[in-house]
Amino acid sequence: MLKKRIIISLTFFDGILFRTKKFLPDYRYTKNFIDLWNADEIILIDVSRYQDKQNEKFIKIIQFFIENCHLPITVGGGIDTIKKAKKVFDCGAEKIILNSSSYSNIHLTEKLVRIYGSSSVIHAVDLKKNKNNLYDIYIENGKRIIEGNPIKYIKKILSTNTGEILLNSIDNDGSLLGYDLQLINYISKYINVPIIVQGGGGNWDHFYDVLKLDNVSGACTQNIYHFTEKSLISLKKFLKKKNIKTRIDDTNL
Amino acid sequence: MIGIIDIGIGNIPSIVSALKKKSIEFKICKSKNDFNNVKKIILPGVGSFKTFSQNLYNNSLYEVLKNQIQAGMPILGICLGFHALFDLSYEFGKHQGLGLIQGEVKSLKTLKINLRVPHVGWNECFVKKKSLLFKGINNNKNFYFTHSFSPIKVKDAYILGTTWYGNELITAVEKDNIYGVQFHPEKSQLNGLLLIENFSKIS
Repeated sequence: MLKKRIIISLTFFDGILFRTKKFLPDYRYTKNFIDLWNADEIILIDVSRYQDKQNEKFIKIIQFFIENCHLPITVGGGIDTIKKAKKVFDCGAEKIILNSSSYSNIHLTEKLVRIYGSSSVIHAVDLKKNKNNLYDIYIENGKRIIEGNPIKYIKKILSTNTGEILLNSIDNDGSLLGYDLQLINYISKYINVPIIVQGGGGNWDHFYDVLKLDNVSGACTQNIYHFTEKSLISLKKFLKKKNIKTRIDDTNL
Repeated sequence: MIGIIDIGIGNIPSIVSALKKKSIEFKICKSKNDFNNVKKIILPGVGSFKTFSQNLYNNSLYEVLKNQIQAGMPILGICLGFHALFDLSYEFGKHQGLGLIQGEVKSLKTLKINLRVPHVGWNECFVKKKSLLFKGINNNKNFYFTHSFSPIKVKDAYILGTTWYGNELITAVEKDNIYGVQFHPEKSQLNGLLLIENFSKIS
C-alpha cells in the first residue's frame, strides 16, 4: 500500500538556508546535515527574487541535492515562465511547485501540466485565518491576499489538472504548535488530488495527528533540528507503533 | 556502456547521478548518431506522453531505438519511458508508443480506483517471477511512484511486477531484452540504485 510521506522542506534565500518564519539565516546546519536516507522527499524553495533571471546559486543547490540524494526532489519559488520551469526540470527535479504565478497567469500552469504531465506539477496554497474564523488565500510569500471565496480559487487551480496540492498554514508556519487540522479538514474535502501539508509540525504527535487523516498524503517539516540523523527514523518508528505506514523497513538504518 | 535517451524533457541528471553513484559507464544519446559503443539503453521520462512521443519522432530517435531493441539490445524504460514500450497511450489524446510490448496506457481514473490520482509516493512492487532486474531486492520493498496513467491489457507472461493502489497496477514488465518499470529507480535510494545496477549487469 501507499505510504504516508515525511517531506523535508528547505527554504533558501540567495543560496543560504533559512529558517522560515523569522527568516533568519541558518549557518549552523548545512545541507550536509540533512538525513538524506530517511526523508521520503525533499522540497527546495527559493525565496530570493530576481526580476527575470534565475538565481544561479539556487540552481547549484538543486544540483547538489540531485547528485547526492537519489530521492524525489521538488523545487519551488519564483517559477513564473516555461523557461524557468524547464531549467529546474533540466537540473533533475522531479516536480515543481507553482503558487503566485497562477493568479495572474493560469494558462502557464495549464501549459506546464501539458508539457511535463500532471504528476510533475504541485500547486501550493497558502492560507491564513481571518478575524471571522474563516480562511483567506495569500500569494507572494503571504504578502498579498486573494479576494473572494478560497474554495472557488482552489477549484480554479484544480481545473488545470495539477497533480498535488501543498496546503500551507501561514498562521502555524514555524509555530511548532501542530498542523492546522481545522484548515485541513475544511479544505481537503474539496480537493481530489493528493494533499501534502505544511506548517506547524513541532513534535511526533503533531505528525500522527495529521497523517492519520485519510485525505493527507504527506507532511512537510521545515525545522532543521528535526532531522539530525536519528530523528526521522525515530519519527517513523513512532508512527509505525501507531499504525501509520511510512517507508521505514528498507532504509539501511 | 549505457546510452541514456535524452529527448529534451526527460529527467536526465537524476539518472546520471544514479549511474555515477554505481560507477556505471554511460553516454547521453540525443540523436541517432550518438549510439556508438552503446550496449544498453535507459529510456527515462518526465512529462506527458504527447510531448514525449512527438520529441521521440522529431529527434529521429524512434526508428533507431526500435531497430536496436529489435536487434536484441537491452532497454530499461522508466515511468513515461515504461509507457512508451507499449502500443498506445491515451494521455492527452491517442498516441503511438514504440509497440515493443502489447498493451495500452490509460488514465488511472478509468481503472476504477477509488483513490486520489495521481498515484504519488512510496509503494511496494510485488515481483511475480524471478528476474535479474530484481536480483537481491525482496518483494516488500518500496519504490517512488508518481504517475496518472498505467498500462493495461498486457499479457501475463510479460508482467514482472504489480503494485496495489486501489487496483492491481502493472508496474514492471519483462519481455526478452525489454524491461520497464513504472516507478523511478533513480529516485528510490538503495533498492532503486540496486535495480539500476542489476540492469547494467544484464548481457
